[in-house]
Amino acid sequence: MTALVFALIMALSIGVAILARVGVRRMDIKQFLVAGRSFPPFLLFFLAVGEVYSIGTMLGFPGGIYGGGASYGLWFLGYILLAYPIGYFLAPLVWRAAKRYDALTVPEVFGRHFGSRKFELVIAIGSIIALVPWGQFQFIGLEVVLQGLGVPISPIGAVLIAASIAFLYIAIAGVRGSAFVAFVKDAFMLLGIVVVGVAAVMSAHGISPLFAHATAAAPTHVHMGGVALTFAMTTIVYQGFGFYLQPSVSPYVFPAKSEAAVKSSTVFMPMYMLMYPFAVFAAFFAVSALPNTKNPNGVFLNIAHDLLPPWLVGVVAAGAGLAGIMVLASTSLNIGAIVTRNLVPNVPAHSQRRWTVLAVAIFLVAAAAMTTFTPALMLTVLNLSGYVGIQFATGWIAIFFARKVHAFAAGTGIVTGVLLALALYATSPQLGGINIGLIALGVNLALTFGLSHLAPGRTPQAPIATSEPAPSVSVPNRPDLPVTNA
Amino acid sequence: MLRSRWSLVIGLGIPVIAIVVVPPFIANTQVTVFGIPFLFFWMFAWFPLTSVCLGISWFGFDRRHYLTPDGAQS
Repeated sequence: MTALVFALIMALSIGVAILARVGVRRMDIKQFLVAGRSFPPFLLFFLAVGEVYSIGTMLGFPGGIYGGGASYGLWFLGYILLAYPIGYFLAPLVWRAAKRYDALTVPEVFGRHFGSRKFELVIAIGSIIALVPWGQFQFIGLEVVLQGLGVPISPIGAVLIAASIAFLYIAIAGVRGSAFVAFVKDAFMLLGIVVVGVAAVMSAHGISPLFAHATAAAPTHVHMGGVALTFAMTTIVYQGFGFYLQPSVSPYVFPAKSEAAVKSSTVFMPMYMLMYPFAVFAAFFAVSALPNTKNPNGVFLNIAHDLLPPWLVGVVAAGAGLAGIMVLASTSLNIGAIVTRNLVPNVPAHSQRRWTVLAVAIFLVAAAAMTTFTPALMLTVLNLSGYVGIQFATGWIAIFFARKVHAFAAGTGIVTGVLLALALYATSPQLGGINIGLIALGVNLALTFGLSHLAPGRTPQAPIATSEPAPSVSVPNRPDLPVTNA
Repeated sequence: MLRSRWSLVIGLGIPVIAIVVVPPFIANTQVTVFGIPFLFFWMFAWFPLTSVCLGISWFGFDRRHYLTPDGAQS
């Protein structure tokens, strides 16, 4: 029964992806990757929250609290929440830059702003290094979901099914497929989290006893201090600040039809987080009710199995599954576009869509294989993606605000930041809990602006923030003005 | 680029204080609200409150600059 409901909801999602294709007469590469920059605020809202609340929300977040205590909860809630006020001010600049340079991918913005093909290549390779763990993160979760359905399925079978559905969304309708599937995904994910959270509270006979039991079972899980607190706070600052500037997120701003659409859709995004209290209830319920779960990532679904009828478990699993598959689809589209447009030179425009779909398929197979052979705790993989991806933030800051930063300085900063973050991650020195990405970002920032100051090079285009915001196209009788490069 | 200081103070300053500055001071309290540990209650409360701050910035200060033609060419 669980598996049947799950399969039906997956079929529904593929139907919705087909629906997304209807009415688009010419699916050229711009339609395929950024929907011709046409999304109104509500579609942008669903695409963006669809990407933000990945499978990590349903599995990694409760699993993190269960395995690591309250500091994981504080970190996860804090960084996403902080991302919105920062994004409200920075995301419109990301859109303005993409529009000015007519860019469909992040490396294009960097390459064209700094006037450097080499820099475009560096950013393209860096993006892929950051995106692969992000995709892998979804696969790890999808394995947990599919194996929890009660049908005999091998880990390889599980990731292949997930990869095939993700491929279908993209092959059918590109970024439109992602945005439309996001509706279905959000509906089932919200429903799943609320149902499990309410079931946990009811089973514990109220919220007070739920937390009281958790405190009694594991006091350190509810309160925190010292190193764990330092880690949570520095990670909130690092990931919240860099959220919209990492290559796994910035492209979702591109399909907006205007800066006003970007800004106004961000206003309501924090409200979406009102589902998290239910995930927190479920996680703390598990601390006392299911104290010996071996795989923390599976703890949310274990609660569902214990408290809910089978068909409802299918709904919950479908919510988690869709969240993972949808983000996987968008991530693979993102990678496919970078390979076709930035890594491989001179792919003619009319065949770029075909090549992108092929690159998507190759990535999905490669990432599926990597996941099967190198499993890891979900949140560790998530951190790894952030350590690399958020180093791009200095480049964006230069694009937004700096007049003198040139390609060599920005490139050296970012590459050093990435290498330093990876080296610190590999050697894990004692730093009192300070997030290593934040340290690397500091070095990155100092190099980018220091080198530009010491060795002035070719001045790039004028900073994005000095040009006026492009007006919304919602003003009647007024075509969208081109943004000048003054 | 920035037309309103108030937009920045309300839309960014207040949420940053609430999310980044306050939590270390309340991380270890035993106080609960509706049975929820105060730290989590505080974070939950700031989901809608952050939207309120951004809403004030957008509807009160920024929106007009994006929706009217003036400024586009200044």
